Amino acid sequence: MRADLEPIVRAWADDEIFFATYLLGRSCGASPDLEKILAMASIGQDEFGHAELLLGLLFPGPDVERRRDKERYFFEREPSDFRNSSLLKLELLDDWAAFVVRAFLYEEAESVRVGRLSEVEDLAGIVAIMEREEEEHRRYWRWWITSLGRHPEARQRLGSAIELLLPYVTDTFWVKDAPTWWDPATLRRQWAESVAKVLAPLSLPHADSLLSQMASEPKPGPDVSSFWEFVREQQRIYRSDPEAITWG
Amino acid sequence: MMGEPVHRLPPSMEDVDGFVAYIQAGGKVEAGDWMPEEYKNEVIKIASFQAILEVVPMPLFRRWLYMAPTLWRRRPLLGKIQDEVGHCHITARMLEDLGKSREELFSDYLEGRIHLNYPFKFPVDSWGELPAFLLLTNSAAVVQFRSLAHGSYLPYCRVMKKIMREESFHFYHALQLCHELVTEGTPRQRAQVQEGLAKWWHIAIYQFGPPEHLTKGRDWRKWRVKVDENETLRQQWISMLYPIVRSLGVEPDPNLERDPDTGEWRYSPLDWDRFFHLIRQRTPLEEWYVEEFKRSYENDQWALKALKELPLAA
Amino acid sequence: MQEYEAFVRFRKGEPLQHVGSVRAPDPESALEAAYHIFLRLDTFERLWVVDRRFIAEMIPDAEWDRRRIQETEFRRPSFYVRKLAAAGYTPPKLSTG
Repeated sequence: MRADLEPIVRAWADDEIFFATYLLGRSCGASPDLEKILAMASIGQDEFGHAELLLGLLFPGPDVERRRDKERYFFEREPSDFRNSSLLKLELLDDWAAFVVRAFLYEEAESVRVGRLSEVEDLAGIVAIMEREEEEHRRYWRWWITSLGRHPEARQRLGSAIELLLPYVTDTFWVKDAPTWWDPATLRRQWAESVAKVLAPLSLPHADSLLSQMASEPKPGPDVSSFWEFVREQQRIYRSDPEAITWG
Repeated sequence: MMGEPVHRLPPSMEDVDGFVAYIQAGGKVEAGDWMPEEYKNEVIKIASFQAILEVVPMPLFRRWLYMAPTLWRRRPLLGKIQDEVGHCHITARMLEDLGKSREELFSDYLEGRIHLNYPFKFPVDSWGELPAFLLLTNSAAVVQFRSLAHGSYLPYCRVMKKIMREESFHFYHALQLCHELVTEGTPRQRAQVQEGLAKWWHIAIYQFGPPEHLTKGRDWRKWRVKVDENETLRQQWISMLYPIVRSLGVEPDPNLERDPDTGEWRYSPLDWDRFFHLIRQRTPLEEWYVEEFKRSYENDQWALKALKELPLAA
Repeated sequence: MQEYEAFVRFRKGEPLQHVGSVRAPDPESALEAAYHIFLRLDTFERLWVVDRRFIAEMIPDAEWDRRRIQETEFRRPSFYVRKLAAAGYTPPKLSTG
């Protein structure tokens, strides 16, 4: 893989790993709508599959050393070295409105990211696989937004969720050490456009602020201390004995 | 063979005795067939208990999904989570077809009318303990499901068959992880697995419930939704798991031995008084499960209410 | 007139099978037509007919299917049995007694 793609893939992989984890985490909750939960669990597995494909680009090859490197890469990084966008630093398991809005925004961003990277030869194969699944995912989250958005009370909750998430959309598409051809400003505008298409008919509270935040130049997102704690929790058992890990 | 067109409605049999005789002769009941109220309640009772134990322990798996010390192992855990919720779903669908809504099912649990299975009273404290717990409790469930798959209520047999196809992956995954940690792990990891197997052997063995003479006679033999005695299933499980547990370096019970003539396993006496006593109490872990279930159940009620209230036309 | 797809369960305990389709003005007529056309020679447990307009369909393509099979390898028992075999361990089959 071309060296200039690495920062992009690193950020992307972190986003996908965490998104998959949140989705399956939410699937561990009770809900009468088991059908929707199961669809979400399936989406989560797709996302983890994408993460594996991306990690495979960073650590190519089937041999054990590569697999160890891949594992160390996740478990031995400091929380500050994770490159998730801020939107993907929040767990949001207890707030279904926020979970839905975040997922919707993320999947719309994914389609922009995938669209841009489908033009890159080294990634074309992986992107073709992802594109197909992302289409299904987008449909799922759009369904939630447009269904809830039409209901007088539910739409208020979506509005509150949008307000909550406003500070966290500021760094989407910003990539540390990105190559010069990577153009977050343009990608963000495209992102805002595709989200606007879905949100426009709904007139949700705070949607205008959201769209203008999304379309603006990227800025660093807020510190999310819960994210740092979450990373440390995930790494705790590994770090208690890094020699212990078997490589399956 | 020419005959009259078959009625769409099942023939009405108010003949409970006839139904029982049919069942006793090995007759099977399909969805939509007439059944006595008692039979329906028997199916509902067994299936409700099972549906709940599929979905309620999910927070345990979330915890281990987050805490697994290898990213690689998240894949099978993700798959297992989806499988278990799916098992609840197909069982809940069958219950709905029998007239019990999933809301009733879940409130049965939240309001204490259904309790979680015995093993879920006890925590899983380490990564090495997890596959030991999974191996022994999963296999106990499979032995029970395999028996239920031969029951008289065909929709439930289909549910069981689908569940068992997926449980097979859970079993071999747990076994492989146990084996890997025992043979390639550190001494600490090996100890976690082996101590886990010793601990969970003595919990899972209770999973089959007390022997006949200690259970209050429910008419399970009459209805044949449940087909085997608890002790029969316990024996099957011991036959299956003892060689495996031994191959992982654990002798779970010094009194475990097989009668050479009857093939029956003898084992250290089980303390059913203690079991019945514990069944009536809620451990802190069980409180946690109820809390988690309640919280997540209530979390999206507003959304489900909204979806119900939306007009059907777009 | 509508197309109805017909499904039959021949014997208790078996799955419902798709046996074909009929054109009919309403469900009762469709049942009767399907009975006479598909079930002249068989005993059966039940017959369903479904108006084709109420059927939603999904057909995966070969490429899609192939990739999903690769994806789901880690959810198959055989994957773990092979790993165990590679480590020199033969697990017993999941049977009893």
